[in-house]
Amino acid sequence: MRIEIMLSGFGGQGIVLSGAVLAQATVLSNYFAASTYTYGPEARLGSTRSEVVISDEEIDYPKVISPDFWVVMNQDSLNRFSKRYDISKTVIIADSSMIKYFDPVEGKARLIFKVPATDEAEKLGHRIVANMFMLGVLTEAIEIIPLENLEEAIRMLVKPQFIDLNIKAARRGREVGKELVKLIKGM
Amino acid sequence: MSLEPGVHLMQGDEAVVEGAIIAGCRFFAGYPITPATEIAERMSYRLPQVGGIFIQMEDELGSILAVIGASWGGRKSMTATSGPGFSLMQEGLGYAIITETPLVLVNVQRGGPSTGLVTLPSQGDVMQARWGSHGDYASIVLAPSSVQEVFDLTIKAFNLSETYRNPVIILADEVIAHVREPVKVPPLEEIEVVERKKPDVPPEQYIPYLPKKPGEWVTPMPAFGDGYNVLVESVMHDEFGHRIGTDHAAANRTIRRLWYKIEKNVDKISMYEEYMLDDAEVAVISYGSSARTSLRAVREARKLGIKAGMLKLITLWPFYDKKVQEVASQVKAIVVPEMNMGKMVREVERASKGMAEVMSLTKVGGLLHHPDEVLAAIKRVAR
Repeated sequence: MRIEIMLSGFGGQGIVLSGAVLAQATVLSNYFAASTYTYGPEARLGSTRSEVVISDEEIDYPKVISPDFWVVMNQDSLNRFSKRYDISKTVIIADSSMIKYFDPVEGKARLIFKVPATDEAEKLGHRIVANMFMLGVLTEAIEIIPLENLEEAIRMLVKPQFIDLNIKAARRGREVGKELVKLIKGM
Repeated sequence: MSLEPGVHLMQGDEAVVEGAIIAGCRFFAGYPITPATEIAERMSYRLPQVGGIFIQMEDELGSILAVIGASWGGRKSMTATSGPGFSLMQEGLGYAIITETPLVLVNVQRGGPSTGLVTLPSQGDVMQARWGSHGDYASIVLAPSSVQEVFDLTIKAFNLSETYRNPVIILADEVIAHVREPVKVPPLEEIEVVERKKPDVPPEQYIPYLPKKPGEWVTPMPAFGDGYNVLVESVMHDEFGHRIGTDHAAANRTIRRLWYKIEKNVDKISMYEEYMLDDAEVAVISYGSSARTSLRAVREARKLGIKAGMLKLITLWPFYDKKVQEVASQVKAIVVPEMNMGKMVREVERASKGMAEVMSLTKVGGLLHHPDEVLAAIKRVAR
């Protein structure tokens, strides 16, 4: 079993942290994980990408070949990576608060799940936790990571003063993720 | 406290620190540089927790010299850097070699030349790691291909540097430095740690660079303050540590000893792993993060019925001719994927002496090979 996940957005949205939290939650769930990230020399606003490979055996190639899941949080990376990867078997989870133009992926992906993650996060207290909301949706959909392991991973990696807000966002994401599970199972 | 036994999720850079602490490293001097910065960052708070010293130096020239000083002070010491810093450290590295100072140097390779591709991986420094400093000497260079290996090899690097009184270079790359993977930390008592051999004779009988018997190349090393007179100097010396300007015979002996202590122990120093080589007709010879891609490609090739296998070099230098020859004598072709313009492939070609076709698969620009590229090369030579 090999599940390939790509997370992309711009610097400052917490894409690198998301990859780390997902990998930690995966390892807590007794699976192997390899999580890498790609970024430019700029500290903010350049496009960032995390890649997480999950497996029940030791992982050879640590990068994504063709993603099973793609969490995408900005227009630029949606445009760019839709050309670079084979997305025919990909479930795309897109932040519709940030992305308005879906033509580059429409009809090409297995499924596009549009969810206003940044707006949802703002309702919960701060837009900065949109990434954890997305991880909630994603982990609900990949089904092998229990919520308590995701919460534990957040406690291990997020600054203490932000843990509660991040967990709140992850839980809300898990609820919304149930709709995605239904869509995937209905296919 | 060293890391508790069990499984930990870590980046390669973090695993360097935890391995080093278990190996007994208690001094780090360095200057932050992407993609090695996390090593210095973690060292800055982990070393004080175990009674060690961390110094952020003014630059890489100072860093390696401080590490040499600390090693002569009796502490296991290390530094970490990336390409531009590694270039600056070459003179100091030579100083460590002629003074036979144990130290560990991590070079997390990024794309060059010069400042180059700051955040992207490369394997462009494999030759610099061998002979980047001037003069004749032999190097010990280890290339990890997973975070687990970073952890294990850091401990091993300290052990080798103490055993051979030589700098040991860990040649990682951006992928291995930044990937997060589980690391299994065994109970401390199961981990072999080599301590420095000090002189067992009184100071008046101690001859700093004269091995006890023929066939031995390494001498015990006192620390500053132990009461032994040693001239720690970069000018060529004889067995007594005396400066020699034009004593050809003594210089010949010293240079050869520096060389032989590594090259004559190649069987002991060389580490490698074999995958599916038993009946292989095509071998991929790979190292570092490229080995991860290569393994995937070899597995894909097997699914297609191609008899492919892989030799993963863990010790890059000294180069293990014997093993490569053995593989070359058994297969029809060898593919060497590298994130550079084709460097180790020259060694593979030399060692395989025409027994197998050798194909170089280069990759520059800051990307790992795609497994399909390696697979395509395997298919091509398998025909």
